[in-house]
Amino acid sequence: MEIPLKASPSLSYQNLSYGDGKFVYLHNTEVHLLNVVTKETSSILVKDKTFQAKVCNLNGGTVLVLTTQSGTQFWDLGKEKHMFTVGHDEEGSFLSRGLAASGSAVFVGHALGTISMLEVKGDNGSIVKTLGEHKDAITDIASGILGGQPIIASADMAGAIIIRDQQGTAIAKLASPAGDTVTSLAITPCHVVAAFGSGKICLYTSNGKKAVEICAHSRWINSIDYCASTNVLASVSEDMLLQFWKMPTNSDPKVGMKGSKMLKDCLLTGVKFLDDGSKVGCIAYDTDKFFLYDA
Amino acid sequence: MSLLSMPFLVTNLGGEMIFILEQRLHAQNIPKEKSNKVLQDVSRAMFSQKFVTELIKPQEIYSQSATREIFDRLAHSSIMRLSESSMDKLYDLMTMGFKYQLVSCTHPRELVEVTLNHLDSIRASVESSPPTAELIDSAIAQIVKLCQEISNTEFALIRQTLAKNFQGKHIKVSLFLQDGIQSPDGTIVLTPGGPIMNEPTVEAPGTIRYFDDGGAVTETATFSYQLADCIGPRKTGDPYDPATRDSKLGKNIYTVDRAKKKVAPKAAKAPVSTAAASTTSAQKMKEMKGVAVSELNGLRELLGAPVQDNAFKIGNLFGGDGDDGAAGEARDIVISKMTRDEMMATNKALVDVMNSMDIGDTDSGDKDLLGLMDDAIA
Repeated sequence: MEIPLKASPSLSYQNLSYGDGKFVYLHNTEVHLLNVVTKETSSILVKDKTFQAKVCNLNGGTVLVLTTQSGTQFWDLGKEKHMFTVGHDEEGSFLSRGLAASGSAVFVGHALGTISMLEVKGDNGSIVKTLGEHKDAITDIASGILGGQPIIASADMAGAIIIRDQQGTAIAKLASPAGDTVTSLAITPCHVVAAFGSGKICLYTSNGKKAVEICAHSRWINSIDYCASTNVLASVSEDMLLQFWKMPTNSDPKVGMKGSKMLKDCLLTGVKFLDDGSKVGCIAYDTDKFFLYDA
Repeated sequence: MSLLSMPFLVTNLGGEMIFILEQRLHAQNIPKEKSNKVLQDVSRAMFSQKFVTELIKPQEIYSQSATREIFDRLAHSSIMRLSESSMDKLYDLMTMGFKYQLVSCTHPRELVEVTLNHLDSIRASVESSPPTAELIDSAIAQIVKLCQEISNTEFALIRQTLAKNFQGKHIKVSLFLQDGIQSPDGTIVLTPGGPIMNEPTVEAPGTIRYFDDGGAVTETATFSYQLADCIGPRKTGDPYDPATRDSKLGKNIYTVDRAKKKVAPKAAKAPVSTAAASTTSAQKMKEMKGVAVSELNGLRELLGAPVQDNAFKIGNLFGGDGDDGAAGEARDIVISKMTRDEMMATNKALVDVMNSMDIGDTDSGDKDLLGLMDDAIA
């Protein structure tokens, strides 16, 4: 199904998020929404340039988190209403990249390689820690359950991937290929999944070892998303393909290719499953259509 | 967002401008000598040492209106005067040309080849003026040096930043429609597959490898990649050698007979080393602290005021030659234009700087030229 959009998506990594029945994406530095049920589009008025928008599960609820030029903003996605802002604490933060939430914490990556860990309680938040293991600009941050434990994974422009616990403490550094760009991360129960500019998707164990390498796409991968309900990973790339992969489990360690769809003339820039995995949405740079498919 | 986008924005748009001007001046029957002078003057302004040095400094990408202002000044840095309508069309063609090249890159690093193709073609256009050609050579050297310092990751960011600038531009260009690189609705047609990029990390899709904890491959499997039939052999050319450069993007599509174009200067000798290329964004970020605002004015200050004496006017750069095969008129223009007041208010600093500039050196032109031009565009 193709749904008309009023504002076209921009070309960036992981430019699609979903929650409370709405898909969220960026058009330049503006935040735009698509209600998947009514097919209505809207935008939220943010008084600052927005560099990232992500729907996060925070303290058991769904919150839209934005990283903007001046700070991290928290929005009630259902009401499309601003709740509060936590200001950045360092120069260079305005080029933020990488955003994830775990428990009551939000992790925001920055251009100088640091990650701000924000603690959110009720309608307030503050920066409680600055994580400095990365030496280069952050490209993505993901959160999930790996081996039964909540973890955060972060990647930077040099290709380094670090796994942390929910308190932000580094647990392992992954052996990612030199010279390849990590564009997006996902976490499955068994692996940290990293997508690369080379078109490869690699699966890493919790102790930092590469377990699987998929030569998945012929061009830059811009986004991946994992659906726990169906154990399927979706990937979208500038080769114009949306692909679906069965992820390994403890009982079945093999990757399976589940399907592939070509979207003609589309530089795909975001992919996101609905919560139950029944459908997947994806968007392409500079197009006025949203693509919604059965997964 | 990348702070290193400006050199690629200006160089590639500038290249398209030179190509289009060259073709249109020919189509308008402007004498070769005058046409060459226009191209040389514009090239000298675009690639002056100071301008290029300023361009490659880390800075935020200019707004669309500010970028347009730069090219307005560049177009009028010669004795040629364009009507506003002609300048609008020229800029539309420039932006659509570069947008097509940008989105057609199969790998972010292909932007190097696009940029160098533009520069080599510009150099060929001004070869009759050795001082101008020298300026281009110097600019090429600076751009090559910059490209070697930029990682693939940064090139991807540069491309994303540039792509934002062209978002929403769907102007239909007759040449593109004829060549099949643009759809009737204005969408740029992307060619799937193609040759594999000559990067050590890139492989043709279709393989799945499993590893043990020691990193050894324990099993290899395959899957059916939907576009396998479209994948070509790995590129083998040197992006810095025009003789072997693989990408054709950025070459002059407006020339009637490309075979007669002179060979570009010999390749820049610097080797490509993608593994060693370090990311520079974080370092550049630290360097540009506190200087961003002042640097924004630097480029404009260096362009100088428009040449006033002996200018010749072209009322309609894109009409009257009966040949719609090359740079044809855009059939469909959808442009969100700022009013002059809006532009002046948004770019007050720029306007103040331009108003305070001294008139630069001017060459004396042929006083009969204006009369010749009036006849040509009648």
